[in-house]
Amino acid sequence: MRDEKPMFIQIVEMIRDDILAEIYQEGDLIISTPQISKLLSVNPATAQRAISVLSDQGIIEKKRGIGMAVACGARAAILAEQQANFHEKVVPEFIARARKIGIGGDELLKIVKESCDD
Amino acid sequence: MIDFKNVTKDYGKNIALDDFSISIAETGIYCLLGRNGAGKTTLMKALAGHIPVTDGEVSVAERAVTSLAMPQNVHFVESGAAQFNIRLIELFRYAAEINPDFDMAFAKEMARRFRLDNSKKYRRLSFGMKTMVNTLIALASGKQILLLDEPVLGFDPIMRKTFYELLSESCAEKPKIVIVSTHIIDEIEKTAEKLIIIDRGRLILFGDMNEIDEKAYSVTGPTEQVMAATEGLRAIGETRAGGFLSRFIFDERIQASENVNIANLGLTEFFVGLVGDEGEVV
Repeated sequence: MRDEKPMFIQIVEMIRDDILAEIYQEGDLIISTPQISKLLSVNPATAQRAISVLSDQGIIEKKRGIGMAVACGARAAILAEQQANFHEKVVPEFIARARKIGIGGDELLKIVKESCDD
Repeated sequence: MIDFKNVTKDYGKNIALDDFSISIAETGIYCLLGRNGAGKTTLMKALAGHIPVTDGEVSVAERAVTSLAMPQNVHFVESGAAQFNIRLIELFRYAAEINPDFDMAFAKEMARRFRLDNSKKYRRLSFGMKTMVNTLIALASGKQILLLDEPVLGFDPIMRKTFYELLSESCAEKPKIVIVSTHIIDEIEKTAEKLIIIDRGRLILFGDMNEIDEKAYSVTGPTEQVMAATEGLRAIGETRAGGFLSRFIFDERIQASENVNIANLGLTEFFVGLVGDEGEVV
């Protein structure tokens, strides 16, 4: 069922997605705390929390006097993490769901192959 | 900077503050929430030295506050406070005369942004505008501690928004402690950094606004599953409908399962859950 995450985690994921999609390149300055708070209409403390989480993860780093920038190697780290997540979580859940509605291994392979070819 | 040590204030039979203790050191915007009669105004009055406390000790910057020694670094704006019935520009001039730190340029700029007519006399202003003038004088006062009792009462939504933007700007420019009491939670939820909730003269919660984002959520689903999923967590309220239950939790986050739904709680719901009468939460 629906699992709404704390706002700061949602912000963290948004920025990570943007880095993965290369909307932010490594070295780019990211959106500032006041901008986040204004844009998403959230408390500045919440925006600050998201930024500090990203910084702790090593995804962004402080550029003195300018702001926070995407760290070197950030995209590769996010990519590796998301790929691991895909293998460990997304795929098993996908298979479990297919089984639940009576779609077996061979049929599933066929469906995936056809969908990929489209 | 602000210290309340076991402060009790009773008005005869009516106990407004009950063995109340709090210590505020950091600058920032503090949101003071409580139901009517919870003790919000008494708290501010005691801090400003407007009323003597029955027991305990109030101090500001390590100096005891009494009605004979009112703290000089505190500016208290009472709800519905009155001013001399003179033109606004004169009002500002007097404020500057009695307070050398008064920031006239800031006051004028704010008056412009709120479309206040400087040449209008105070009594000719609408209720909301009068409140705005009082707050404006407080913000321009340059004091380290501002106490604003219901500053947005009578404001339209646009004025409320502008007011909180201004408050943030003013605090970013000159860090200070601002304690704001209000019943209109919408905008302050997005502005305040700290949260103080009082009920029946007692401190119920003193924390970071981030805590609400991180720890306040609701778990909804079939009654039994919700009870099982939230076992051992601090529940602050609940709502029932048919065989379904929605429990308001203030604790570590749990993961949603197939049967239960997790949603974030806003400050309003959190506040109602925390201080609403148990009988009212059905």
